[in-house]
This record gives sequence, structure tokens and C-alpha cells, in this order.
Amino acid sequence: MMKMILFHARVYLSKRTILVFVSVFLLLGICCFINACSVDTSQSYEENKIIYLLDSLFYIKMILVFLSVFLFCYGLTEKIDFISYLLLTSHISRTKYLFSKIIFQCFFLFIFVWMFFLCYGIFGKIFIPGFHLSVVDWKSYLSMWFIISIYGLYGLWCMVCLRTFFVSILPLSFFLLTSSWMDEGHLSVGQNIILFFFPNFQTQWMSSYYGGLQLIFLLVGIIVINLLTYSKKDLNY
Amino acid sequence: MIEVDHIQKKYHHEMVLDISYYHFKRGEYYLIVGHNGSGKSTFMKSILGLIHLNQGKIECRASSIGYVPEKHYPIDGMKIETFLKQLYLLRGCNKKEMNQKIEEACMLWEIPRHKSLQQLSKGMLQKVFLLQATLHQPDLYIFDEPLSGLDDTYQTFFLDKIKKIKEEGKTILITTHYPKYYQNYDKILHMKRGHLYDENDSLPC
Repeated sequence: MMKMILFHARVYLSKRTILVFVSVFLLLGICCFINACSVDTSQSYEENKIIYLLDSLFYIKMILVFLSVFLFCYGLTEKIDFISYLLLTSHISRTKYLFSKIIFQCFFLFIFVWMFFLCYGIFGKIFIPGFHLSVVDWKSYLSMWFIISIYGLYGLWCMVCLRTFFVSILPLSFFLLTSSWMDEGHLSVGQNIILFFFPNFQTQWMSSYYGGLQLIFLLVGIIVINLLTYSKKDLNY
Repeated sequence: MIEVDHIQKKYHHEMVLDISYYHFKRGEYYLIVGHNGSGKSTFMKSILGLIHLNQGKIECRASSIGYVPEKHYPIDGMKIETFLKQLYLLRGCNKKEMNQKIEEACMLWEIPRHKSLQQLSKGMLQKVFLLQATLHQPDLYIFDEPLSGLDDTYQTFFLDKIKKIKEEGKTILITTHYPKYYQNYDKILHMKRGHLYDENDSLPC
């Protein structure tokens, strides 16, 4: 499995893609820096901390969901996934192939989120007097990683089913839709159902609307659905 | 080596593959000829297990397969040597021999192993894909339209390699539009609208 994961890493991480990821990271870092710089020292520490955290999470949410969906969908485009022909004909199962790819993608996003978390901590320490990381920070960033991975996996599933890069619009549309509901006080039953399957970051709970357990079940569930669908689909470019 | 037993494959209710029975014998060299859309690639992918059949089964008794797909692309920024090593390792081959084997093969095939896959011409890229299919010394080779888009030099090189594989007693399946380029094959089969025809038989297999 480790060999497969490393193979995917080598396929994905070319100079050009690394350049894109570094650019995104720098952009997020600059946003975080601006957030940290613009704290109002006349306000209390608690107020400043929560504003800083929410602003940082807003940027990470908006940018990394797109990055995640593109990362997952790109992996099943013909130019990348034709390699599966060579591997699947070499006694490597479809499940192992896709699962290793998912592991790599999720791990990559994990690294990305935690690198940004490091930025958040460093800038906070420099610019906010008395700044220290709390459980809420860890929890929020972890929830964010779950949410962006879930949307990426939805994108992957759409790619497995329909085999066109344009389907990446679908999970992104759901993400934008649920994001617009986050400021609403009361949600209808329909909205609640959609939020169950398409989670979003709820600032009130500093996690998804239904909590961390839902995110774990959803992540595992979508991975299983992806594996089952991929093993039943024809691989025909 | 490969037993095809009453297979059918439909795409959107249209039958694209319909073969009653055929047995590909071990150590033989088969040429599968047909027009575009006749079902050649679908048949090859069915043998490889990349496509699920609606009916029937294909039993492939090859311990390992060397496959060159019709379409392939250079992996962005990956060197030839890295590409070959990665595939070699993933196929469970001996790591100790790897470096020497790849180095020797690249020298013999005149492949610039330190070059990036993206820098290669179509012919050279095809050469690399042919090499990846042979490195782990499989007992079954499947080449899907291997000569398409290649100039005379690369065609000659490729045909020469197939000849050597044949001499080693390996089973070879090649799909093509142009049988005139190939020689020394044991059997020529024709694909027409998803049916397989033996060269000496007017009825489908």
C-alpha cells in the first residue's frame, strides 16, 4: 500500500502542481497575516481571538474546498488515470488502487490544512497579545479538514460515475449553497437534510452542523461508496 | 492461455461484443484486425478485466501481463527512469536487480532514461511504454494499436521487438487496422461489429 501511495505522490507532485499548491498556500498565508495584523487591540482578547479564528477559517474554507475538489477530480482525468491500465493489469486490485489514491489525497490536504494552522498560530502569536492555541482551534481546523475532504470525495464520486471534469461543479455548487445557509437562524427540514449530506462549517459550534461524529461517518461512507462504484465501473477512456 | 466463453457486452443497449467461444493458445502470436468501432479495444480490455461483461466469462491464465494501451500520456515532470522503477516495484519484481536491469534495458533500447516523459516524441514515448510492458517479463503481451502514429524507424524497431518476444515463446495479442505491417504471426482474427471471425471460417466464433 505504501508503494502505491508514494507512486500517486510522484504522479501528482510535479513541479507545476507544486508551484500551484505553494501559490495557494502563500495566498492563504497572506490572508492570515492580514487578519492577524488587523486586530483591534482595544477589544478584548476573546473577541480578537474569535474574529481572527473565524476570518482565517473563512479563507481556508472557501479556497481549500475548491482545491480539494479539483485535486480529487484531477486524479481521475484521462491524462492521470490512464496509468490505472498498467497497474490494474499487474495484479493490483481496483480497491487498492483507488484507496491508496484517496489516502494520498486526504493526507495531502491534511498536511496543507495543518501547515496553514501553523501559520495561523505563528501570526497569532506575533500580532495578538497573549495569543495561545486552544482546543477550539484544533477542533475547528480538524473539522475543516473533514469538510474539505468530504467535498473532494463527492467530486471523486461524480468523476467515477460520469467521467468528466465538469462534474466538479456539482459538489462545489452544494458547498456554496450550504455556505449561504450558515448565517440563517432557522433552517427548514429540507435544508437540514441537505446539510446532513453536504456539511458545512457552523460558526456557532465550531464544527459541522451535526458535529464531528457525523463528519467521520460521512467521510468513511463516501470512501466506501467510491470504492464500490469504482470496482463496478468500466475503465474505458 | 485465454478462454473466452460466451461473452456479451452492451453499451446503451447496443451490442459491442458478442463472442461464443475462443481459445487463445499459450505461446502463439495473434493479430486481431478490424475497423474503428469494431470492438477490438473493448475485447482487449475485457480480457484485461478493465471492462465488466454483461454475460459470459474470460479466463486468463497468464501469471503476468504486459500491456501497451492505445492511448497513453506523459506524466507531468516524471523521468523515464523513475516511471520504469515505480512500475517495476509495484509489480512486485526484485528490487536488487532493478537498477541494473533498467539501466541495461534503456541502453539497449536507446532510451534516454534521465529525460522527462514530457520531453519525448510520440515514438520515443511508445518505446518507453513498450519497455515497461516487457521489463517484468510477462507471459502474455497485449498491444492495442501499437503502430498508430509511428514513423518507419519506430515501426521497424517495434516489429523487431515483437519478433524477439515471439521467439521467447510468449503469447502475443495485437490489435490493428493494418495487418500488412505484421509478419510471422500464427493466427489472424477479424473483428466485425463485436463478432470475432477466424481467418478460415465465415461464421463468427
